[in-house]
Amino acid sequence: MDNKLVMALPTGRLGDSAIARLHAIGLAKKISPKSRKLVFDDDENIRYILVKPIDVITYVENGIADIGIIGSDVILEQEADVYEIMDLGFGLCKFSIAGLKDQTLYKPDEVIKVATKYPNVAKKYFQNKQQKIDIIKINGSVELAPLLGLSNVIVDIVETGNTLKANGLVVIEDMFEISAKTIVNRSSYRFKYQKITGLTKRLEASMEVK
Amino acid sequence: MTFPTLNDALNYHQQKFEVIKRLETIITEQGYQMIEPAYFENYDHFIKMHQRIEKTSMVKLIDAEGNIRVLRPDITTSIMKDLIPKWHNGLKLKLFYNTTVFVNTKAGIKEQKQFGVEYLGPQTPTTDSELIAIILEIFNDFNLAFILEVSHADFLHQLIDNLALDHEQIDTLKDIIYHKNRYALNKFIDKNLNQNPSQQVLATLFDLQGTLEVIDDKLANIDLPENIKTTLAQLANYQSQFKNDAVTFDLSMLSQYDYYSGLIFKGYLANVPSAVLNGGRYNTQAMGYKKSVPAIGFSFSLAALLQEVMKNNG
Repeated sequence: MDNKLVMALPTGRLGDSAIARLHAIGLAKKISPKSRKLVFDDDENIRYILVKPIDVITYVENGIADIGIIGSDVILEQEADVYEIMDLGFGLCKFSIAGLKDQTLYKPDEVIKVATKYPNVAKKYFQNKQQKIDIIKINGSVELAPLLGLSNVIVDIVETGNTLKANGLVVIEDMFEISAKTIVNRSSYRFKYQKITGLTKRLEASMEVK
Repeated sequence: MTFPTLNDALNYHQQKFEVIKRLETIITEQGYQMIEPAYFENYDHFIKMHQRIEKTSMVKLIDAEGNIRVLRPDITTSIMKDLIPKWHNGLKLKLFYNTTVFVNTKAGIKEQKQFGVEYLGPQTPTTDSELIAIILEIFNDFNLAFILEVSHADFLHQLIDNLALDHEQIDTLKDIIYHKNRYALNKFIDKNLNQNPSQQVLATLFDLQGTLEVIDDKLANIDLPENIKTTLAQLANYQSQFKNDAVTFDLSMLSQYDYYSGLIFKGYLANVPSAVLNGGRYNTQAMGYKKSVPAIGFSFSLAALLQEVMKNNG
């Protein structure tokens, strides 16, 4: 069996933090996010593949990558069937419900309109709260929706709240905390158990130093 | 890239035939008899027998009288329904099947080819070992890199019972365990639990993997609750039989169905992304028919096995 460990890393800001964390334990030194290359090999028999954040889960779930680093926002939305073995403590933000000031969120017998890029997250959350909703899936500038009357509220990722504020919106309720996680394919976890737990121990140790 | 020729297609069917013949030889030599289960289940009955099943994954049909039926999502239920009402004490049944189950997925209705084995009647460590040996023989015989993950279903049941949680907390905890989410587990413990032996066991849960020696070592400093001690002692009975590189214990394994009670197992093939084999002891299921029938069984994906065998054959 192939003994190489394949790790899927997200492109973009989260990926940069992930690479920095790997650098701190002496790994992933050959990765250069600036280059157009998408596959890098390591001296320690680890192969890194750079993919779009939402594809990290797909690669890991299908066993093309054994392990991946990804935000819990993507895990929550995709309901991936993978192990989520470690919290990395960076990429911190929140899923929040936001809207115009001074409105009541929960209205029994009424269907509220929720605009979001994360329909699964929104649907599940409101189901638990027993609030009926209509989901309006949009792909960007979610903040516009309540302003233009497309929806009553939005469900989105909030980091600083500056974008909301600039558009006259406020957080009505915080839903979940988000951070970067290490995910593992179920079959790889068994076949490469020592290698994977060894790697997470090193990552954990580097976090304690900080 | 070239498209398969007629010869390739015939070759595929020939190989598939050989694999199935080989499987059937292994299993019939051990005295197992083939059965052909029914296609349809009664929806209400099925739900009653499987309270935690994902209802959206079942393929439902409506007959002329408006009754809801299910296109069989598993085989065990159908076997139990046919055989258990006629059961009498002292019987011993060794059965196998090679058939299709149906699952509704986001990508439409899927037909899954399953090969399965059930051993009903006697319950001794030898019955359990016999089944484990058959599993290992099958995957060895085809020369595939295979790992069998083993646990005892009572371990997690008892651990969760000991913690005296409410329904919502149990669901949350099971979800955490299913994803081996160490971070969420620690948070769960901080928020919901007091310092006691069962909580200490829970805190080490994801380290309880590997050989039984490793597991004993991790639990050495905990004053284990009596029920968990008994379960671990039962598991230790199997230690000598499971001295095999292809077997690894994982006490954090969450069984697919709540009705499992003794040994449970999952099998993985290298390069196949999810478990290909599931099984365990399900003594309590016959209770639904007011009978007491010890039973153990497993099933695996014939498609996954075929695919890996053919890869090996080039």
